[in-house]
Amino acid sequence: MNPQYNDMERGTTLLTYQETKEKAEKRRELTQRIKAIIVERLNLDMEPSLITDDQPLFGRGLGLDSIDALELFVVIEDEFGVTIYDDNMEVFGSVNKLADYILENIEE
Amino acid sequence: MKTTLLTKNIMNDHACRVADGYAVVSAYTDVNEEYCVLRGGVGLIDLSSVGKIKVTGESHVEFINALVTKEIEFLDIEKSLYTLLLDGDGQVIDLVNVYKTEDAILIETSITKRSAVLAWLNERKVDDVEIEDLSEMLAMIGLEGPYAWKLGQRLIDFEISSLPFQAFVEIDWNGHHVFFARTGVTGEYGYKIIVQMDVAHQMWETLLGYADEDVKVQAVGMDALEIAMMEVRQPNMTVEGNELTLYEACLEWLVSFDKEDFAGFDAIHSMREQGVKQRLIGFVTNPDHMLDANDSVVVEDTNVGKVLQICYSPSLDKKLGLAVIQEEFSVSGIDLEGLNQNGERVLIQTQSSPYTFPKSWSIKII
Repeated sequence: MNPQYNDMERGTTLLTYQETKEKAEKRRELTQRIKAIIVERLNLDMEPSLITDDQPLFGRGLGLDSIDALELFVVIEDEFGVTIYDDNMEVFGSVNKLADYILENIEE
Repeated sequence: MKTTLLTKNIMNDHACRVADGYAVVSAYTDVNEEYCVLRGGVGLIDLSSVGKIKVTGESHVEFINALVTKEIEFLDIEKSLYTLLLDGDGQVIDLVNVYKTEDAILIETSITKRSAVLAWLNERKVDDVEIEDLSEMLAMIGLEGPYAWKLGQRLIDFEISSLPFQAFVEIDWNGHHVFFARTGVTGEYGYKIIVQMDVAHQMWETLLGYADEDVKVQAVGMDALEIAMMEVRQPNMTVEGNELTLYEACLEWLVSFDKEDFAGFDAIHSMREQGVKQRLIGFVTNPDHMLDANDSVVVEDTNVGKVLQICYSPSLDKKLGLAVIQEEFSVSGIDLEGLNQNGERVLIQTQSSPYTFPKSWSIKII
């Protein structure tokens, strides 16, 4: 127990070292899968591992455009069964944002 | 401490800091108020201390292309590009913005690395290029905010919506030659104006005078600007440019790995083969927690990293930070602990960038 935590955090149960490591590994598997899908389905000429988790997907970042976004809507639905609505620009902020959205909306 | 003419004219008794020997205003009023202007109106930013280096000569494009990590040989005229400059060991010298004109390349450096960039260019100089440091002759003023385009429109005689991101035009303003570029660092609409230093104050006052009932226009200092930059994970060379490799700082997206060669090319490929042991990740913690740069990040009793930067984010109402963490833990969505100088542990939660949603992403230029 961590007595200095405030009221909001007091219920937080921290994972052990091993559990935290395993959770991080699962998260990394998801982001790596998303990167591989982006590269394959958008025919990008690059290694998926060179896409970083937090880089912007559009414009100055990976350089995707609105046509790529339409393709990504389809790809994410195909691969994860998760629907992205076209007014949700935030989800394309980075691979990490896409991963957050998938985790929040995927049916167990 | 050196002070540019524009800064001298507007700094008054505002809080200042020193970057690479130059005075920059930290805040003109209140940091939170200035932050709200950046996210809701138009922030006017004195960037007159950034380095502005002009490179000309028969092989100037080839010369710069051999030094930067992005391919610029086929960059169009009146286009700009963010790219890294690496030294021979693959360490980041600076993140620069390269502007290509018909017969020259203008390099905009960060404030803190302007001397290092100039020294590096001169060290690698070849016979048929000329390197001219225009930093004292030219000022730079940034416009950042969801309505920055409204202000920019007042300076140009064509539809501002037709100016794409990372494009620029050369215009006449009251008889003075001015660069007007669309390029930003906060996720909001951003423009930069490069103008002769001796008329920069006149330009500054003119821009402030464009404020009206609809759009708040206000001078914004470096403190608020750096918060907004961190919220969208825009690299800040005072943080990412020290100690870290480009992989640790997650700057791969600023490198064309299919480019045949550039300074530092062999070194960064060798680094990649050796593997990355730590990486930068964003995190939040509650605003009342005491946690500072250089404090440790731990999992149980194991030290897994350290805090590099931390500030209060008004949008999140939390402290937002960047920490360099052992690679196996450097992912978004996990709970870790910060260990402060008093030996207290505070909960930190790793986050996905961008940490806030810029208003400009939902506003169209009309």
